[in-house]
Amino acid sequence: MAEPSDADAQLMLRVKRGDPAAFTALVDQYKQPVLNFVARTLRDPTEAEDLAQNVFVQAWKSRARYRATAKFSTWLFTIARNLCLNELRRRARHPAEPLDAPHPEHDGEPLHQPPDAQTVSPPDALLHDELERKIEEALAALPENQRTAILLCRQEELSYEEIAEVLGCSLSATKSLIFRGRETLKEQLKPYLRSGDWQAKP
Amino acid sequence: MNDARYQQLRETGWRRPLTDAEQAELRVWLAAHPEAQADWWAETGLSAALGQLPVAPVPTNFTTRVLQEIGREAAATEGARARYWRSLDWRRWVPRTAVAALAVVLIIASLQLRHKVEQAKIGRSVAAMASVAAAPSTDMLKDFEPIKRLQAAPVVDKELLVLLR
Repeated sequence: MAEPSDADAQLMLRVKRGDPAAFTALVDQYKQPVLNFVARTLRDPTEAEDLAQNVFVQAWKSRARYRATAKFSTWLFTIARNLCLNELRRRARHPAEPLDAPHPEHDGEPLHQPPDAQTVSPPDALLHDELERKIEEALAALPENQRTAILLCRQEELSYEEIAEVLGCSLSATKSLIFRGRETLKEQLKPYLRSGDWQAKP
Repeated sequence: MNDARYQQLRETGWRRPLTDAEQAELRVWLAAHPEAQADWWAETGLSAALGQLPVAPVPTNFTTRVLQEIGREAAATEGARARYWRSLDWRRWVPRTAVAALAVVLIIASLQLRHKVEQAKIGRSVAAMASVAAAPSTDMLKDFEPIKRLQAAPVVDKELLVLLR
């Protein structure tokens, strides 16, 4: 078999041969984009960290099944997406406990401590936080396939063809998902986009 | 530039900022199609907003924790494998097999003994039935009715007997 031109695929082939240093290099290279993707999908920082680590653990355990016919990033994000889907389905079966649920070890304290409302933030920071929250809410409200398509679109490592491979659909369907997701986001964020807070003229 | 090219630039803008040449090409097209300007404005605004989302902070020990978890799972798998092979050790299975074989032999012997006892019971029942079979023949019963009429003899007339004496 001819050696793949993808440098990451070559590293992964070394991992298949039992090279832990190659695996460490891949983890260091992809931990940020994987964590970004998982964090935006799950919206829980702690769970996102655990699941992102599990993505790499699964990649290690599945190393024998890796084929260099696909880019390593495509293969890795497919694992990430599948684990996120499993977690989202688990959440749907077992809804999260309320924020004011009592802490199991500290009586009288809620399980989830909200940020201190007495802290005074600069107005710009407050506005920025509000805009950020709005777009995150709008992203979270999208159907999973549209949200995943848009998030993967932000990953420079993946082409549209590779995003289609991760999603398991055609190239035209993938672009359609991105288009529809963006149209929904533009509609929901119209007041903020009109205000110019995020404007960038061509 | 035509609509297909505009769509292509739009899809390019989804992934990265347009180059100077691409922007120049787009400006010319938008000047000729002012109805598309609002949509392009929204597109670039949305791309900027998505690009400004903060990156998730990666813990400094992220890679270490991944490698530790892999090591933990490998140790757990190895332990399970060793327990499995220990369970197949012949020195543990010989006495267990002997006891099992003895139990099977005892069960079979018990079943055979019970079968013999049942057979003996049946034999005794057959012998008892054989003695009953020596009863008189049914030919004797063909005179049953006349015998019965004879037995039903009239009552003796004692007064007549006294007169006849």
